[in-house]
Amino acid sequence: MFALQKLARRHEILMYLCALLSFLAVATGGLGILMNGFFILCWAFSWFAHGRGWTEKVPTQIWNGIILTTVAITGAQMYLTEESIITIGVRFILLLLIIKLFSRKGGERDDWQIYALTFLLMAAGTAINEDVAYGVVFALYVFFVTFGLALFHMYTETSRLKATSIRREGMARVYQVALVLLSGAVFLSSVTIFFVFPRVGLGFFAPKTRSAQAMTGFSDKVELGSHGVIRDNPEVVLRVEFPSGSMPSDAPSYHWRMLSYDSYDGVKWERSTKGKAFNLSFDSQTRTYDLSQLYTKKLDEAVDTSGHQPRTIRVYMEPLGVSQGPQIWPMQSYVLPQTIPLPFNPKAAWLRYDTRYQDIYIQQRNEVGIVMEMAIHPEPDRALYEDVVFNLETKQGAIEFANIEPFLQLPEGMGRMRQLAEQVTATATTPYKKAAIIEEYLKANYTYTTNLPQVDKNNPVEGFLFDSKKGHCEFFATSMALMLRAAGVPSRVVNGFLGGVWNSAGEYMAVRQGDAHAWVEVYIPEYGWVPFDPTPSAGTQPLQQTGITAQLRDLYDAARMNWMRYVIEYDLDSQIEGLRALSKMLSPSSRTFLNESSDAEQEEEKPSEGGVQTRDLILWVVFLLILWRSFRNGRLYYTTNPRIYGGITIPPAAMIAAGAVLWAGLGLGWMRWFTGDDIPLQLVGGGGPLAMTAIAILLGANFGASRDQLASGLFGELERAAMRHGITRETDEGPAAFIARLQELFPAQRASLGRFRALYLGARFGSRELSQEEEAKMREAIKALRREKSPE
Amino acid sequence: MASSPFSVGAGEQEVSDPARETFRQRMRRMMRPPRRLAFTRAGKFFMLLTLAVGAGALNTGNNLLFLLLGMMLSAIIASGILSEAVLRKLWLERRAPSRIFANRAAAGSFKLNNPRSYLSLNIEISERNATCEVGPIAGQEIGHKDVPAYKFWVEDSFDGDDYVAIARMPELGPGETKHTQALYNFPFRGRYKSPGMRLATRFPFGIFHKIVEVDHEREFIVFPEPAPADDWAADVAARFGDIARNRAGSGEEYFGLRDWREGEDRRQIHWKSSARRGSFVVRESEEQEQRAVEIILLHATGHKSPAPAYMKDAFEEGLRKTAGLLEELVAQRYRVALRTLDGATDAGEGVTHLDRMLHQLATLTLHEGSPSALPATRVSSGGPMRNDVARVGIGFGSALDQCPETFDLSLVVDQSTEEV
Repeated sequence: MFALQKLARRHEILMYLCALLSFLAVATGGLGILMNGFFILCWAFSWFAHGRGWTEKVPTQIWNGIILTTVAITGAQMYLTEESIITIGVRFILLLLIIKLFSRKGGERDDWQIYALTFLLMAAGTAINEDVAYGVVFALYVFFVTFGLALFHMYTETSRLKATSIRREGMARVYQVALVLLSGAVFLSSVTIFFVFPRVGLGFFAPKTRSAQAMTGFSDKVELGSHGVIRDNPEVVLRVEFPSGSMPSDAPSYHWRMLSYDSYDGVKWERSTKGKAFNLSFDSQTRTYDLSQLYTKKLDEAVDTSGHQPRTIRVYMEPLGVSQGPQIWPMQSYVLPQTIPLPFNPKAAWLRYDTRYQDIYIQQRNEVGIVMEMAIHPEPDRALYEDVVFNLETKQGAIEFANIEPFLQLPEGMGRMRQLAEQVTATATTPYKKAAIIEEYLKANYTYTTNLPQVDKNNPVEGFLFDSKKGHCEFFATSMALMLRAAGVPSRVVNGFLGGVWNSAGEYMAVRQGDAHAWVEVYIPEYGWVPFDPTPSAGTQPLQQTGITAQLRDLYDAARMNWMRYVIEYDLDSQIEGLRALSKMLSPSSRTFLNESSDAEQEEEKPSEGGVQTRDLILWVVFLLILWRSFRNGRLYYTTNPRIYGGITIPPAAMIAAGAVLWAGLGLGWMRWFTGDDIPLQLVGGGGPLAMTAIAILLGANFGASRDQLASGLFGELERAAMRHGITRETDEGPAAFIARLQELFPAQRASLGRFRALYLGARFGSRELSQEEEAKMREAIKALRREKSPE
Repeated sequence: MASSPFSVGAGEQEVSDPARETFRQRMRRMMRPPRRLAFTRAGKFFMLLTLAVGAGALNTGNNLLFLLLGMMLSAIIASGILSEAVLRKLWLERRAPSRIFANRAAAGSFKLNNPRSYLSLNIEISERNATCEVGPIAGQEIGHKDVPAYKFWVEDSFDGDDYVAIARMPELGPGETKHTQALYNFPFRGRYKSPGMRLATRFPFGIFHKIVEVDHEREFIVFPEPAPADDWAADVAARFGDIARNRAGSGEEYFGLRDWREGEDRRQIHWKSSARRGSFVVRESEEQEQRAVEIILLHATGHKSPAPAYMKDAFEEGLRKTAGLLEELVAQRYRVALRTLDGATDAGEGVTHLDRMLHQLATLTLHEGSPSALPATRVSSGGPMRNDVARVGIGFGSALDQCPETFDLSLVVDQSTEEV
């Protein structure tokens, strides 16, 4: 028996699970380990306390007193502390939940209140936990809360009946299976609603934003030695997808340039001026920013003559709290996502370019992740600019040098370094050769380490060059830049990321905070800034971790990326993009109703001639299914009897006409949508359903049968049902006698067959019209006869 | 009106006689949505929470709130679909009780058939609110007061005993037919009209109460609740002798046939009937000692002014007592006839006859002014009441005084108190 107690117990378990899940949804929201531990302890203890009836004797006044105290403490916290209001609120709800778990007396009201508190916690969780973990908790919560609420309802209804059990064990099983299916359906429906619900969030009071990662090394000033701190940070900042689906061999050497510095004061790098940034122009159709317009003429020629096609990569950038955008030298173009031109669109972004520092800034209204495409050229042949020098004799050359002169700044002193620079570059004659020789010198004679030895804090560069000879990328880059400046070559230090690690679970390259790197840009006359990396290869190898932990981390990061991209940052743009894709998929002519694609695209996506497209097939099947469904019991649904709608009688002929017009119109519209202005096909579309209707009539599909014909038809069906059991009507056996014989053979169906006989005889011989209900009853009798076991 | 099965599917509801529908009734029927939804207490909070989450999601654009909103809307959609699945295409019949007394529960039943291939759970069947057409609360509705859905702050109870009749069915398997008992409760006598029944469910989460109204009119006659009338019965007995008989005896009137017993006089055998039956039977005659009483109920105030409230209460009390007297007299095998200002019931005996008279009492109204001419009654089909019949007048003193007829016994309804 599915006892009431059992029902109550199961519901209780599910309710406790819901409470636990809702707690997990907020547990990461800065409540503190003390509160988290306290909740878990109380949650577990309340189960036992309630089971043993310890809390039942506590008077309600005491619980009310505890609630009031909690309210008072929460109020005091709000006024006296600077804690976030959400954290205080969540803690308050958790305390209420604990009190309710202890004080509940098993009444309907108490349990509803617990469910309501778990709902509130789940809602609060959305504000403080945007991680993929929330998604997992949510999925489980949907399952348990659906199951729990349904069992709770069953329990309360059964208690209301004052019954002690539900009658049949079978029903309990069926009910539970149905509940599992229901939970699944509710989850699927939640996801569907999530994707379909229009994202018209106006964000008047709380604009959509995400918490940015805490980045180091990307401020206006960078002190030497700070970089080593972040080397082990696995937090992903960029995720890069390649068109091939695998990581190209040169990808680990990608230098993701973010920010450059021009001035060094002996201890730290900084930017001497604010720079000169302006908005970059872009192609409004494709949102493409052509960066090649920023190249010098020579570089442009060098890229063009290389003959290589640019490689397009897709980069998903996490909100970093800084506005610099990544660049890889030399870059062809930048494509920002298509966004709806609305003033409140949080994803709206545009590029700015700093002409002094050559930095790119991505301007966004809100702190959200961004997906962009980059086209990158391979590095041009270095031999092209190996021998180029400043030509100060020409006016253009003089202007060029004057512009770049600030990048020769050196701090006072540092005589040993200047001397070393002169020594190393003694044989080199051009800026490129000087850069190459210093790069090689540093790589060969110095060791990479993140475990920095003690050096002179006031002169870390000379300490590195002459004393410790060990350091990380910033020391190498700073030393190279300063040595180049000492040798008369304009240079600067740039910060960014190097390479990345391949995430096989998500099939993308993850660039992590730990991949932060510093290198040097050298100004080559007429070609512009060219990157050099003096850090030995030990320091440029990404810290690729292996083992099960790393695999799990990869898996988690892949899940997180998808979660962020498809859930957290899903918006109106994504919806429109989805609709476009859907309309493209459904339309054989690849025309979308939202945006007409270009002719070239149409040409590209034109379906192959002659072949049947799957989408066409699906739609035709659906179309025919609808048509088939409109025939019910062998008759066209609308046309058997006059019908009364709101007191207006509609004759069958009018219904046939209306139905025919509707069908023909639908068919025609459909065809037009699929095939465009093709008149013969439109005729097929419109005429097809009409022809099918006509064929149905001609084939005598009982169309428009009068009620006595209907009765004969039903009797025929009964005869066929009897034949299934091997019973046939004798030639001299009348219908009444035949049914009487069936009644004897199938005693269980005696009543239903008796009713069938009375209705049949009345309709067939008594000029009595069969009502729809009577027809239904006769069909029921036929069905029941079919289901019967054949007599021995 | 005979009860008949019908489907409760949308648009297939029956109206007993569409021709008799008034324009207003017809408009109301046409405008009525096929299903009605009421919030349960928990449902109101659920809806408020959903609205709050929806507002939050729209304002902040927080997608996790949209996810939560999706879940809550899904629960609402699932509630709608599953409750519809529970109620769809069920066949409902009403077996109303044949005798209903005011203020006393009368056992009736509902028969529910599930012709589908899946089961229905947690079904609630109830009689819709009935309107009193004739009686002390004429024009008023009795039954469960529905709270309009927009008044979500008003708590609606679905467990109340204020329904005319309610029954619950926890489950109804596929193809199964079940009867469930329901107690009909009418607080006052009179003629009531119920527009039909309703099927409802709170399945699957208990947040909504989905209701399907089934049109199937039925008239209910509610007899007045009999009050003890020992004093009146004693007066009648004292005046007309203790016993009234209606049994086999030595009279001339034909009473019936019975088997001949061994030892009885063979001359009593009715040969014609014995030949037909194949065994000896005896013809019995009715005893002539039976007494007959004619109750003349003067349901008039005796004054020209409208009846004050206390008089109406006293009238109801008088009716209850009259019902009690009739019950008592029939139990004592009197032949009783009832004559009122509106009509007359010929003399008769037995429970069926009692019901006829109670039916008459159920639909009486209090007239203003003095009682005018009363319709004649008959003792039997043979002719008018004989002179030896005792004539008992019941009414207010003022009405009895003004009545032109004379009574063997006058029973005065006390109207001195307002309390009943």
